Amino acid sequence: MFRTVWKQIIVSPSKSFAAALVCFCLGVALGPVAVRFLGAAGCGDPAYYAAPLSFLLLLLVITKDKVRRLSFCFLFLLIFGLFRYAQAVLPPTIPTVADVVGNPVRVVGTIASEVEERSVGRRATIDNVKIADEFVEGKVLVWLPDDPPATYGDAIAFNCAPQLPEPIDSFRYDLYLRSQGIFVVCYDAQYVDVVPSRGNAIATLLAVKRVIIDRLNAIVPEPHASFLAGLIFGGSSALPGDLKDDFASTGTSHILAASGFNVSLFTMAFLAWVTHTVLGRRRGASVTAGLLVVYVFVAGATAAVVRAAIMGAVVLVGFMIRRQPSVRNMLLLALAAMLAWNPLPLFYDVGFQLSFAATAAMLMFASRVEEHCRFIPETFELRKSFAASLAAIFATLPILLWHFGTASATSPIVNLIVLPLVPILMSLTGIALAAAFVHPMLGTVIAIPAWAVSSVILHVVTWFGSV
Amino acid sequence: MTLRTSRNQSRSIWSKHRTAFERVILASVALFVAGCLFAIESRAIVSSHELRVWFLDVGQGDATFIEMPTGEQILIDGGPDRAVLAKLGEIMLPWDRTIDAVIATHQDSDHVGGLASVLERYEVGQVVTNNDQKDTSTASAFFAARDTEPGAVVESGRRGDSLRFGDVTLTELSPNDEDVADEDANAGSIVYRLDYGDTSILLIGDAPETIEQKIAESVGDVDVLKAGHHGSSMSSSYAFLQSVRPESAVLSCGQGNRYGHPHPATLKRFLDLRISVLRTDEDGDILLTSGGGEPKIRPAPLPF
Repeated sequence: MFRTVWKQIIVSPSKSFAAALVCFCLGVALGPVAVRFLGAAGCGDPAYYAAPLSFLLLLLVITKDKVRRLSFCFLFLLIFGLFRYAQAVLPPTIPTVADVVGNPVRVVGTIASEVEERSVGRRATIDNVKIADEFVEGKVLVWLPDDPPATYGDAIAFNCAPQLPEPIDSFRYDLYLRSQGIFVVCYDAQYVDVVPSRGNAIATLLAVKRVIIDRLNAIVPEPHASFLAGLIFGGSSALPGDLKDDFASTGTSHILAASGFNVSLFTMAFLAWVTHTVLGRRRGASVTAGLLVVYVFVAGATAAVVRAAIMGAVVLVGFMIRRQPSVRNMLLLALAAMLAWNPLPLFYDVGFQLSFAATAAMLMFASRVEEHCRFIPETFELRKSFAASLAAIFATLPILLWHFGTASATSPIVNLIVLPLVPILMSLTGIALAAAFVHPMLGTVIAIPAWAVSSVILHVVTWFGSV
Repeated sequence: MTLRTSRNQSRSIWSKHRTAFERVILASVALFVAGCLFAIESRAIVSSHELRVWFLDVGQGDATFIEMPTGEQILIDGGPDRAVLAKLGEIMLPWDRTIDAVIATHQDSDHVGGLASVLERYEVGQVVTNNDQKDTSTASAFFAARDTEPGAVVESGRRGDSLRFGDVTLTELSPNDEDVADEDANAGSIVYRLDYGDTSILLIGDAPETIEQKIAESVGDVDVLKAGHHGSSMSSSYAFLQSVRPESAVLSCGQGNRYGHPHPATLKRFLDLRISVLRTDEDGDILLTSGGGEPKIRPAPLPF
């Protein structure tokens, strides 16, 4: 069995490539085991990986035999995966921002995230943190008052007593934040000083996004405006608390994260639709690619957004080449690239896991599921969306169980009702937004269908949320 | 194989023939459903051309939205945060972006916290405040929004002022300059008596007992009392309740709030005087409707 698989891997370049990517991902996945094992042996420092890696590299260069070379290559990638993980986990000896937990200190740093509006005040992540004039590792998640205004890239200083984040019920919020590099949270920032930065590219993009969200707020009433903003750009912070809870309890929060889930779903539905228009398949795909690029820029090019767009791009390329092995390779490549960038989300970032599992399921199984969904009308690509949603729901169920311990019985039903409507709602909102930039009043009128669909979705979520 | 091809073919022909008509139908269905839901939930059908007063459940704070029989809309206080926006979105038509008047009874954050965002999202014709200059960050955000609101008439409300919308009159019974200067910001609360035919409502903000004593005589008898200071023991004194003799009282407070509002002693006073009590923390949003006769008041929770 093993031998035949190995033979196939050697013979087919496509399979060799896939195997190489799997080796790297496996390395990252085994990272925690290695770190614990090596840490116990007193050699947890990532520098210890240098020797085996360079040795393997040397072997790779001098070996002529193809099969051996391939094995060395796989081994190299496996160890490289272990190394990436070890690098991402800081050894306990390095001074971090978590060392001052509980003590009132003055935190100095740079705002390294979008400044999110909460229902009260705002929230941001601070990087390049200095405490008592010493640089320390780790980011700080801070709740800021409305005044003074602050934005991405600004230098900021404030007084607070940092706290360690805590799990929320069964969800390991602390580990999630850790995977984002956030070590401590500050709920009570005082004496905030902000020095605005100039010419920061991401700050400019976020300003564009702000303009779009303001326009959206002008044409759609709450809570729909916040919902639509969350749907398109990610983020549920502006939604009323009860509604947010309903999304969580019905297992539909993922549509409010800037996840690959939405973007993939939208890409798939949009592609299916655009192929039938005068644009045709090829030009339709170009338009979709253009939309994805615009999306990345407009949504602020944050890590989550880029990741979501990568997932969308995977769907797009998969749609163009239509060969199952290539689709598989591309998914693996996207996964490996994202893990090489930051390996920690593989373990702790639910959004990342859901997003990847959902996209993979949609690409690999949606067409097969669709075969069994003949009873759904094809209008508005409902059947395609429905099949894609169903595939995604099955794929994400184990992850939800893993992180939250429970999966609500209503979750699949709500998802099945809500998800097929998501791409339609995104398009309706996009059209209304475009109109709003022509004239706000025109936008308000054209936004009425978007309001209606949003209203239907929010009602479904609240009804099932209160069950 | 042949079968498959023909099926695919027929499907592609079908998909080519799908018309805009179908999409219009789908969008219309969503519109129809959403429209029906809106009409039912915002009680738009049952009470057109009536006075409608919504005591909104915005958590620990106050927000009262009044729709006049003649169509004008006013908002008295905006609760502690942006939650009020979702409520307005549910009551007002989706394309309605104007509010005729916004009134801040006083500058505590549980009353003006949400008003800055209301001024941002809606075109407001008139802003009334007690013009208390006590400095808090929420108050300054509200004043900043007020000062940049285009076209809004800004007024500082004092005893004796009144707002008139058709047959509905809001008479201001408090404060005077002295009350506003009081160290206790609550003493400067704007107090309105609303009259429409036989319906009378007293909207008392956070006014404490001292103010109640001052105004008791001028209030007279009312149908509904919006109880002072979220039902705290410092307001709604026996003497005052006996003087204004409301049939029902509305308490606007948040579920499990940390101030312990409403106070058991206050609730007991209402119980002793057989005044029926409606609470936003238990009943959700509360709606009062009146055609000019006796008002009807009932819980009418909005969906979001």
